[in-house]
Amino acid sequence: MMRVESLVAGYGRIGVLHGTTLGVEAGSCVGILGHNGMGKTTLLRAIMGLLPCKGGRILLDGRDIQHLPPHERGRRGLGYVPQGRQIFPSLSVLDNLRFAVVAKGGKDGDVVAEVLEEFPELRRLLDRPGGALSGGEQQLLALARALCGRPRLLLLDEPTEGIQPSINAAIVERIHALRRRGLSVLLVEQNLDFIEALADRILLIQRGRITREIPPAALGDPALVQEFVGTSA
Amino acid sequence: MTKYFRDGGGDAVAVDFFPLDVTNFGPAIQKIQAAKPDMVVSALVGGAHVSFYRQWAAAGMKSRIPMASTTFGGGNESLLLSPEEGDGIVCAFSYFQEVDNAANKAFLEKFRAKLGANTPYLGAELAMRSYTGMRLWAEGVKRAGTTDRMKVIEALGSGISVDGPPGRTMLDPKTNHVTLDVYVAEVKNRGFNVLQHFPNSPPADTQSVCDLQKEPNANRQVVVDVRI
Amino acid sequence: MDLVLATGIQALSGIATLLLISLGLAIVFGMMRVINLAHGEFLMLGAYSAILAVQAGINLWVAMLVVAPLCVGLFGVVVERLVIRRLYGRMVDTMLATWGLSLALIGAVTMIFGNTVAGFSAPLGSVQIGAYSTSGYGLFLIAATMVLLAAVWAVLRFTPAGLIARGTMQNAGMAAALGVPTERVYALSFAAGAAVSGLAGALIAPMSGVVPTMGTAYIARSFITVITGGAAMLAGTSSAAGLLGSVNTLGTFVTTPVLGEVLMLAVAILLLRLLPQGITGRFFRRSL
Repeated sequence: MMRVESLVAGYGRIGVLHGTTLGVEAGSCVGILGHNGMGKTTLLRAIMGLLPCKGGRILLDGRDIQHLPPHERGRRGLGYVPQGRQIFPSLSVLDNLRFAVVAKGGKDGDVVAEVLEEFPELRRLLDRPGGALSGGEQQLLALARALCGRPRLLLLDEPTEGIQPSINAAIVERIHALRRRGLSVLLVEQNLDFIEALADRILLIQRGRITREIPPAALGDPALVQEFVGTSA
Repeated sequence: MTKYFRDGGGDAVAVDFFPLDVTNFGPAIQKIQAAKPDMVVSALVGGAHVSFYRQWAAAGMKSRIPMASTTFGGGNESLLLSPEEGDGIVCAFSYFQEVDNAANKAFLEKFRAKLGANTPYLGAELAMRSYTGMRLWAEGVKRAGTTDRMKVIEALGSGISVDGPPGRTMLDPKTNHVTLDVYVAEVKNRGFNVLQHFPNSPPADTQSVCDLQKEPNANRQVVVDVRI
Repeated sequence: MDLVLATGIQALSGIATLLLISLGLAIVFGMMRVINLAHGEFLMLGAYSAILAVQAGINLWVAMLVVAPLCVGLFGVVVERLVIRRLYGRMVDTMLATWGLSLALIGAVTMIFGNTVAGFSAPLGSVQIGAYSTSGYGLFLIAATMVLLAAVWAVLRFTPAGLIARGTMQNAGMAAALGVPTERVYALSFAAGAAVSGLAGALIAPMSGVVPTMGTAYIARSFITVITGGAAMLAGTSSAAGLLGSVNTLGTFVTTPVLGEVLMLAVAILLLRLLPQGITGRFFRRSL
C-alpha cells in the first residue's frame, strides 16, 4: 500500500537518508532494524512529512504524497506513534484521545469509546494530565491516540524504548489484534524480541539505506545478529 | 508653578510628575479627590497624557474642581476630547485661532482662501509662533539689507518687532526672547473661547537672570530661581 | 472604608487595563511563539475603528464591541498571510518585520486621519463611593475584562477548536501528524489575537488619548506582562497583570507616579531574574 523510493532527507546539510527504498504491502507488518543514528526515526519523520525530503518519492496507494503537508498525510491514513511518545503533557488523557479525532474533523464520542474498549488500562487515567503518566502508560496512550485517527498504516517508532517488558507484551498483543482487522504497520526498532514477535518482514537499515532483508529465522542466530546489528537481544 | 501660586497668594497642596507613557490616571484622580484642592493645574503633555482629561471627566470630576493648564492645547489636545470632556479647561497661550482682532481676521481669511477645504485648525500658539518667528527673521533681513548671517543677527538685536495676528511681537535684545501678547482662554467645543488679553507681556522670568547686552558672549546655562 | 474600597477599585482597574491590553499579545505569543511588535498599533487600530464607526453614526456599544474586533481581526488575517506566515520559526525576523509594520501603521494612520481624531467620551457617567467619585465606565472595563478572560478560557477549555489550539500550542509537529492543519490554526490564532487587541483598543479609547502613536504607550507594558507571565497565556498573563497592576497602582498611591512605574519595572525584572521562564514556568504549569 505504501512504497518509499530512493528517499533522500536529512537535517540541514547533514544527510541521513541516502536513497532509502522499501515497500509495505497492505495488511502486512514491516520491521526495520538498525542502530541508533542509522536513520530509523528520520525515515518515519520523512514519511510523515515532518522533515523536508530532498529527493525520491513516497507513494501511498499509488499516489505521490511528497508534496503534501503532514496533516494531509495523516488524513489519508497514516498514523504516527513517535519516538518519545510526544503526548500532549498538559492535556488530560481523554483530551489527548479526543484531540486525535477532532484533528481530522470527526465527532469524538464514539471513536474514543471504541478505542478505550481496547485500552481498558487507560480508563482509570482519563482525567490525568498526559505528562503525569508513566512511560508505559504514555506508550499505550500514544498508540491509542494514533488509533483514534483511524489510520490504515501505522508508523511505530521504537515503542519499546524505556518501557517495562510487561507493557511491551501488551502492545504486541494489541497490535496483533489490530492487524487482524487489516491495519498495516511500519515499525522501526532495536529490540529484537519485539520486532520478531510482530514483523512479517524484517529489513536492515544501515547508514540511511536498506541494506538487506533478514529472514525472521535468522534472528535466532547469535552470530548473524552480532554481524548485522552489533547488539544482543 | 509652585512659585507663581505662592506669588499669587495661593499654595500647592501637592505636586506629582508623570512619566510620559503613563495612561492610567485613576490613582492620581483619587489622590486629588482626597486632597480636595480649589483647582488643578495640569502641565501634562503628549498623547498618553490626554488620558488624564478623559478619565477626569469620566470620574465626574469636571463639575467639582476647576482645571487650568499651561500645556493643554499646545498639541491640539482640544481636538481629541469631546466637548463634555474638554469644555471649561482654562489655558494661556500667546495666540489662539479665536483671537479677535482685525489682523487675525484678515490672516485667517487669506489662510482659508489659500488652503480651501484642507485648512487645518490652528488651535493654540505653536503654528502661529513658527510663522511669526519667520516674519521676525524677515524683518531682520529687511533692516540689514542682506541675508549675511552676522549682519542679520546684528539687525535682530537692534530691537525689532512685527505686528501680526497674535498682536505685536518684539524681540528682546537682553534675552533673545520676545515680548508678546498673552491670551487666557477656556476650551469650548473642541476650540477655545478667549477670556482675557494681556498685551506686551515681557519674558520676565528669563530677564531676571539673563542680560545678553551686558554679557553678549554668555555661554552658561541660566536657571530661574524658583526657591521661595 | 471608602478609601480602601476606592483604592481597591483603582487597583482592580489597573490590573484589568493591563490584562486587557496584553491578552491579544499573549494569545499570539502563547499559540505561535511569535512576538508581534505591532501589537500596540493593533490596539490603536481598534480605537480608531471604534471612533470612526461612532462618527459614522453607529451605536457606540456596537462600534466598540463588534466593529473594532471585526476590523482588526480581518486586518490580522491579512498581516498573517502577507508577513507572519512567511517567517514562522524565525523569531528575530518576525520581530523586525512587525516592528516595521508598526512604524508603517503609525505613518499610514497619520497620513490618512492626521494627528488628531475627535474621540467620544466615556459613557455610563460617574459613580460615588463615599467621598470618592469614580467613572462608571472604569467599572465596566473591569467587568468587561473579566468576561473576556472567561470567554477566552471557555473557548479553549470546552470547544473542539479550543482543544485543537491547546494541543497545537504544546506540540505543533505531533498535532500536524494527527491531522491538524497547523497553518490554519496559526492563521486563526493570529486573527483571534488581533481581534482581542482590537476590542481592547476600542474599550480603552474613551479613557485615553487616541493618536496614531498611542500604541507606543501600551506596548512596553503589555510585553512586560506577557513575558513575566510566561508560557501559560491566560494564567500567566492574569497573574502577571494582577501582580504588576497592584504594584503599580499601590506604588503610585503610596509614593509618586514615577516611583510607581519604577516599582512595577523593578518587580518585573526581579521576577524574571528569579523565574526566567515567567511565573507559569514555575507555578500553574499545566494551566492555560
